[in-house]
Amino acid sequence: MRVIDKLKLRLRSMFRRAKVEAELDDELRFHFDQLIEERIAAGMTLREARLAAARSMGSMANVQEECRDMRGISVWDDLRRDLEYAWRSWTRAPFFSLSVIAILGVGIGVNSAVFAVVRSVVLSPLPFPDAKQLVVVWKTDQADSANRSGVAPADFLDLQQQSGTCAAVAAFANTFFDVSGVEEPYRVNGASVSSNFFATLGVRPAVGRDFTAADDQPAAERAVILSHSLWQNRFQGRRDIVGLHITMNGQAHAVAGVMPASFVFPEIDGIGAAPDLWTPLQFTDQRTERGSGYMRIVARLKAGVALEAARAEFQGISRRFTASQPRAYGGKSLSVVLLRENIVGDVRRLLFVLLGAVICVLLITCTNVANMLLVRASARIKELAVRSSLGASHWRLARQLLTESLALGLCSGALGLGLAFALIRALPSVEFADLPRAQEISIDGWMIAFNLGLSALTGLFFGVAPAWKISRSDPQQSLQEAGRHSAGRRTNRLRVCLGVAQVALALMLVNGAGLLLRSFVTLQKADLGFRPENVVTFELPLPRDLGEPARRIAFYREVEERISRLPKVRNVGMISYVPLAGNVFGWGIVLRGRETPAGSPAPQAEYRVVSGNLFPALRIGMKAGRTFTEQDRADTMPVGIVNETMARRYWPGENAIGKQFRLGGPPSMFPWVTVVGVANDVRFGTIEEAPEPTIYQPLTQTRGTELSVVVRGNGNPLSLMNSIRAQVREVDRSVALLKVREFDYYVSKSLGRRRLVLAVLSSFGVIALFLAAFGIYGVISHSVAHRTQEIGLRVALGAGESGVLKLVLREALWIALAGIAFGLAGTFALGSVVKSLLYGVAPTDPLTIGAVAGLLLAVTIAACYSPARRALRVDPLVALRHE
Amino acid sequence: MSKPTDLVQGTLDLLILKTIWAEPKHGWAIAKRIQQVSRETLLIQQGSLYPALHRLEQQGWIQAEWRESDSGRMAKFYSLTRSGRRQFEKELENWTRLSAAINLVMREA
Repeated sequence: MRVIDKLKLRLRSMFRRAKVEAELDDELRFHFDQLIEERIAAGMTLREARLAAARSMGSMANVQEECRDMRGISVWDDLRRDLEYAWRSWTRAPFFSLSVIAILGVGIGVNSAVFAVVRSVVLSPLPFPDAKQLVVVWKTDQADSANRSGVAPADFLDLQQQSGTCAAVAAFANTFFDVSGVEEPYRVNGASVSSNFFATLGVRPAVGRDFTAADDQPAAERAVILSHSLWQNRFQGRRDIVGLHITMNGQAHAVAGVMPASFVFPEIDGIGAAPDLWTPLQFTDQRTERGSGYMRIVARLKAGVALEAARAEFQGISRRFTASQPRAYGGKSLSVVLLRENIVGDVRRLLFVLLGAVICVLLITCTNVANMLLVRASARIKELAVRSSLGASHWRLARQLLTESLALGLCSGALGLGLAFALIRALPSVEFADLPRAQEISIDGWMIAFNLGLSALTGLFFGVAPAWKISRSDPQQSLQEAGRHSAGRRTNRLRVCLGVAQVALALMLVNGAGLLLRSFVTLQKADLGFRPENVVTFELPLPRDLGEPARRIAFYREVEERISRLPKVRNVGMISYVPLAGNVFGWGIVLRGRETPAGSPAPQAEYRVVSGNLFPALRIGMKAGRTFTEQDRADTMPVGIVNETMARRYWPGENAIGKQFRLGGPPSMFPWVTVVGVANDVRFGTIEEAPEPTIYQPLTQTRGTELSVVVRGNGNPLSLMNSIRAQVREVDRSVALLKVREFDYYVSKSLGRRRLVLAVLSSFGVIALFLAAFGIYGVISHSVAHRTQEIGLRVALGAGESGVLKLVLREALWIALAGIAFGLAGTFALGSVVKSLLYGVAPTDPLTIGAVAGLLLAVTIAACYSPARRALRVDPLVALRHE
Repeated sequence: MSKPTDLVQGTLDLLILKTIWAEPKHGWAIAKRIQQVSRETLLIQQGSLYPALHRLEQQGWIQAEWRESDSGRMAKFYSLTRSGRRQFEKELENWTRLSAAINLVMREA
């Protein structure tokens, strides 16, 4: 009963406000009248009585205010009033409020977008049940942990049997399939997986069934599981998909199931085209295959088993492997890596650098807005002083300012959220943003919460300074000062501090961007070992029906000849994997005369099969010896070309030409090869990495592998593609040209992630510079206004223009120098974080830092231009009369 | 705006509740009554009185009603609710204990 009565009262106070207020008014007026009556009864005149009553009553407004407080409605009431008031003050200065909202909105938006990326990619668990128990097993070089590979099929079977810490060990091998029997044959990326692969990950097909152990048997009917997107795109999502037969690599496969749309294949090999279908491994004679390393191992640790325990166990297994297979496992061991670590390990640091940068931007934004609000608060000091002397409490005024700032913050937050949505949506269209888990990046409740929290916090952050200032000011002093157009020393000190912080943050950001820019320029100038311009390249798979090597070789030779006869074509060559396209694998080799003893690891080299005029087509220069010619045939002496690094590393101080080596493997398949030429180093893997030893062999002396075609033309060769296609079709109608690209594409793609970071950081840097200039401008112009009299006095006493300028600039330069000093400290402290993103430049590169510091000083001086002019125009007479 | 006598926190509530114990009164009458009974020692400023009245009403201890006053004008009369009476007894007990304790200290210490 009581509760309901109370509630009724409160609701009445809230919603029948006018009535309640009128009653309060009546009540107090009654009291007032009684007072007067009492005075009159005591013999005063009406006028005297009224005055006396008013005096003893005190401030009616105060009493009303307190009564409202007691009714507990004032919170709502004040909020509404504050908001109304905020609205009025915004619309009075629309440019100011819009620029605050815009500046903050951009800051919050960019921040939220980067946060969403970081959260989706790095922080959120992988989309598998109990994902923290999933690990990847690699065969890793003990001396160089970056050098790792998978294991051989027989090793995988051993691991499955021997591991006690894993609940399940699964394997897969990336491959691709040519789908035929449809109108337009196509090639898809796929993976051969052990039948327990999906079960190990803890996922099931959405349609149909998972693989079973029976599917792994060599005699079983070939089965395939499709990705959701392949099902939708190639099979129009038809319901009767299960059981349908698809011809892949010339063999019929029955569709067993379709994975759910949410399934994301773990990209443990780096980011590439994710497989679109999966077939069972169906080992036959691979069961005993050792020495290779194409099986990727994914395992699930038993519940409660720590990663360390699994590591120890696999160390033991590696020792046994090393003992039984010294060639394959000498100097190597099995390393166990958390699946998540494996996928996102690379980009974590990069994303955190971006996050740090974006937080810097937000901080600068906030300090700037705080500064702007501070200026406004000082401009409003008179108004606030009046309100305060009329009885508004300091807390009340501070709360008003806080409400305004919070409202601004939330408006900016709304804008920021929109911006973040747009940015995230645009992300997939940024071709070079090759992030792992890219399809998982999304905006969710967390991001909205983050955004709201951020806007509220920034609102509070920049509301606090002015509010704190107001709550401490003495109304009387403020009223006097307001007339004098100043806001006291304390505010100014605060604003100087904000200016210093902005310069420091800007220095750190711009320095980071500068370092990245230098790395980028260095990389762009890096000697790739070949010339990518005016070159087009495409993969040309062999037609399926070409079995024997001679026919494969003939196919490529014919294509080559036909293309080279086309007009505007300069050179045509072929190579098994073009540089920078992401295919590097070391091959074990044997050097004649210095065979490594059994048990120690074999020397390694990149291995490429080439054909035609590859070296001229890519403009790969020769250091010594000759290139391949028509005379290098299957029946002549096997010849090879090595690169400089190979010659230097394996035959130091000797002439490599005439030396012999062979590829690791059965000697019957890989005969001794004689070096006839030394070519310049080519960067096959990435632009950053130093070239590895590389071997080239002519196609004619191999068994014939799939090649990519490289065509150098006069001008842009993409225009030649139609005639090139026609020529290929003349040779064989069934083959498709894959990945037709200008070579520059691979070059820019391999710089892609770097370019993304550079683009983001430099735009942040520009924003930071701009904001810092704005901040300094604010401080200095305010200080000039504040010191008009002083300047006037100095001019009157004979100070020249240079004296006035010195006065203005000194303060600005102090701010800039202090900011630069703090920024330098920050740069040195955080240098190691960005180090991994740099190439050929140290994180504390003095040239970059010097240039950035100079830039900031220049910006500071530029920001002083207009306040300085104002100072110079001060008329001493006017200034002194100003008082 | 200093108050002539700073009342111990909560004492004003007790005085108000006591004053309207017997019959409903309006704000003015409450202030006057306290002043009279205390022989002009306790002067209740309306700056304290009305907020206190509104707070007590909000807490459900007193309720308000517009009625005609002696002078014929409408005034807001406050009366005790049942829970107000309970509250008064509780506060009175507290007060008695407290003042007795203070007296003891004054005499003995």
